[in-house]
Amino acid sequence: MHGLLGKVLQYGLVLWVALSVNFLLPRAMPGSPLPYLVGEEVGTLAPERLDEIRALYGLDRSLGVQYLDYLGDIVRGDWGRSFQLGMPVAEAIRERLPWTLLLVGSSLLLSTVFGVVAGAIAAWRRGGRFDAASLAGAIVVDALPSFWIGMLAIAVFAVQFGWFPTFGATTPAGPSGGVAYLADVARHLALPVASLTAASLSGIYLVMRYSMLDVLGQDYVRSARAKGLSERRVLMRHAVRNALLPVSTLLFLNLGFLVGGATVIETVFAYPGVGTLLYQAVLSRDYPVLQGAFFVLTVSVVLANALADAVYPLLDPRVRRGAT
Amino acid sequence: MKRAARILSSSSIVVTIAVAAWLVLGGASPAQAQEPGTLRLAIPGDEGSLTPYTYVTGYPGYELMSLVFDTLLRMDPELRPRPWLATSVEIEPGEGEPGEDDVVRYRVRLRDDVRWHDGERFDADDVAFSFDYYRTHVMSRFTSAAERVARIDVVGPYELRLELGAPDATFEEAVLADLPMLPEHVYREIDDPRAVREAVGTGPYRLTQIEAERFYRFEANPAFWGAEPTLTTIIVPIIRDETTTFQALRAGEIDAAARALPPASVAAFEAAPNLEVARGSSFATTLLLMDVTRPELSDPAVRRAIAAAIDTRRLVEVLLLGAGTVGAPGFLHPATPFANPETAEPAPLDRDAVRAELEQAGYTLGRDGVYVGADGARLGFELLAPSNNPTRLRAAELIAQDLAAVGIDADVRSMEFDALTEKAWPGFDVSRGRDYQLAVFGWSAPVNARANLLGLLHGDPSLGTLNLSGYADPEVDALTVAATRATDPDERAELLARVQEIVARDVPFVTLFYPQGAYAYRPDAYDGWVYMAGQGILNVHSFLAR
Repeated sequence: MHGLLGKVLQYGLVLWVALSVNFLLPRAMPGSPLPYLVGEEVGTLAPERLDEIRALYGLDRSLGVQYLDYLGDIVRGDWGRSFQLGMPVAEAIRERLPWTLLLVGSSLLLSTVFGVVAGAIAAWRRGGRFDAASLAGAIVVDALPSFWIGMLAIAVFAVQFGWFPTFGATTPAGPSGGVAYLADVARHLALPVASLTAASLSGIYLVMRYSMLDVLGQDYVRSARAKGLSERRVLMRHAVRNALLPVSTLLFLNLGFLVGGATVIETVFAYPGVGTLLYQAVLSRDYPVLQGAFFVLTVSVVLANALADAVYPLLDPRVRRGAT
Repeated sequence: MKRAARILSSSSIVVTIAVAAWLVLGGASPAQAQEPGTLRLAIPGDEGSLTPYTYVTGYPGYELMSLVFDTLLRMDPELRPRPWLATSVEIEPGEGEPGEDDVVRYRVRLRDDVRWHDGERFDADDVAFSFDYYRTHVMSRFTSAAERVARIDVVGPYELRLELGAPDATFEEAVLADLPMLPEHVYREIDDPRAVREAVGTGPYRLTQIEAERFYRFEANPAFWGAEPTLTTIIVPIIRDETTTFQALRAGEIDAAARALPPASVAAFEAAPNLEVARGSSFATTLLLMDVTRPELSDPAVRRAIAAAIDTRRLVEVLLLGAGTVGAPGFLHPATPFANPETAEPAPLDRDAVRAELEQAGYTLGRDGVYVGADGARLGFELLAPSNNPTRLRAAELIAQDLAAVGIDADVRSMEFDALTEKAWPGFDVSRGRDYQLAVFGWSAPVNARANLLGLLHGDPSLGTLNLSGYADPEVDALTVAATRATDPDERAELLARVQEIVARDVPFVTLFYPQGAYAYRPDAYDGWVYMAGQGILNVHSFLAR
């Protein structure tokens, strides 16, 4: 019980620090949101008019007052209105979140499955042809910037072969329901997911491979073989299961960042996710959007960590025993 | 049983993959098949709900907003104000009472056959309401324009009188042809116009769908009062990335783009079989700003040397691959109506002459190859360039080379665009001073198109709101003020020509170049484009029958 209270306090502290950083960082950037509040030709306004605008949006108040208001608004669930888009921040995030979850979620799933399988096989057949080829491939792909992978995918599969669309999450003003809509979403999803998976696959592959190599050298694997278990059983029951622990940590970490989107891939494919929203908000000093989006991201990362804390003892009996 | 489960699970995986493959590859054929009368035009960013208070950029946002909202006058493709919602605008013969002969009164007559998109009638009350609303609800571009009108009287249902405190040479283009009219019956109840999501205008197209960060859909307004809309539907997808935009155009997923083609791509798009490129002038300027209030830069001889040392012709050749116009020493683009032909071309590059002039002005070459003034001040400067703009960044590097060749040291420093703006223009308020030495900067097209030399050069910060150099000259102050009051175009041309001569002589900044506009489109989808001088093909005239 005591431990639980401690944990809650610990997460509360983390959340508060993160929220404060979310407030301070955007305001520490040079530049001003004024051109986005009243239009580009802000230079034509008289200085008194500019002061009026600052007052209207509360930008004239001291940082301390703004900070207290910000904390109060977060608690009340009022995230304000985007300086640039004019729409409520919560609505802007809600519109983009499903697309980001679809894109980043599918890619996380695919890269984990492929990464784990490839990493396990490579380690199992260490030094073999597959190991050499996949290791070299993973290191090369890991070094490629993701925007470049995306551009290449567009140039080859969308423009050259015409198999996939070049941009967007759906055909603008295309089918709006039924199988045709699902097909449209899937066609638009293919290249961004493939690019994002390619960009994140090698990380999981490398972790899995090294973790597997480590496990394969352990005594219990030798004992399992000595017991006369089949190779398949040794691989699945003894090696892979234990090697998955570091991968699951990585998975939980990535899970938290799911809602942050994939700014680069979203921008390249004009995918309407949270990543592009954040990027544009940084450029336009859109404080309410930055605060709202980073709040969602913070909460989600903290939750994912809490989840990892809760699930880890179930996965690893050693942790369970150590905790009590 | 176990085996059966395994077979079941593996076969379900196969089925899932097959369905996914069918959905992705077979389900629907690519989007090339489109209805006739539909145009797909990509823009580079979200433009909010495209009302006068919520559009984001001057270009393309204002132009798209202008498909929905009308102005009293409208600039034609050659930048002359023409009747639009107003049928006539006349200056009333002076009935000026003694002591107020400066007052100018305009009589504006309106069309009587205009309806808002929701069916309500448009009349003089809407016009008077719009001016009032812009004055009380700040939107920089429209508030400062509306404030030029001192008083409005509704004379009849379709007739108004506007009173100005003083003659205003750019009143028609900067106010009457710029302010979008607002529907009184909608905005009367609205305190926060930035929350408005529905665009109700009188224009040729209605905005029928907004999908944030994805696309806009416009449809022809069958009840439009003027020339017939040439398209039934305009789909406007948002594609932020430049490369993706033009790949989508090549793949036939869009038919045109608001973005200008990068110079290096123009030839390839001109050669492509299904694409055409419209070329024309662009009035956006790239400048080298100088803080002339600093002692080292307060000497016009030094500024003249900097201007003469920069090979602007090479900048156009190298950076724009020749697709641009060399900056005029007098600032105004040679294709604008008030450009002075005498100050349109920089003198040929002569580095020895530059050095000779510096030496004549009392500068001596230091041991490090950099000139030093009689007071010991070294001609070494920090040159700021925006990191997000490769053209300007490379321009800064070439400028530094050019300056080094005549014994002036410029140290290029790249910084984020907003950070640079904050240094050159703190708080967007010239009266707060400036914190830079040299900077590569730019102005958008309206500064040139409206010959806004008053804003660029006047020494009083309340008038010279764009005077980032801190330049002040009594003669220029008097001439620019006189020019804004000169309603006779010939008189105005004469005054502005004199200002340009002084700019070429005093060099408050160096006008480097104006890029050329090149816009690619698919002629089989739509071929009715009109190139608006200095701006490009995205304007309301492109979407109306001629």
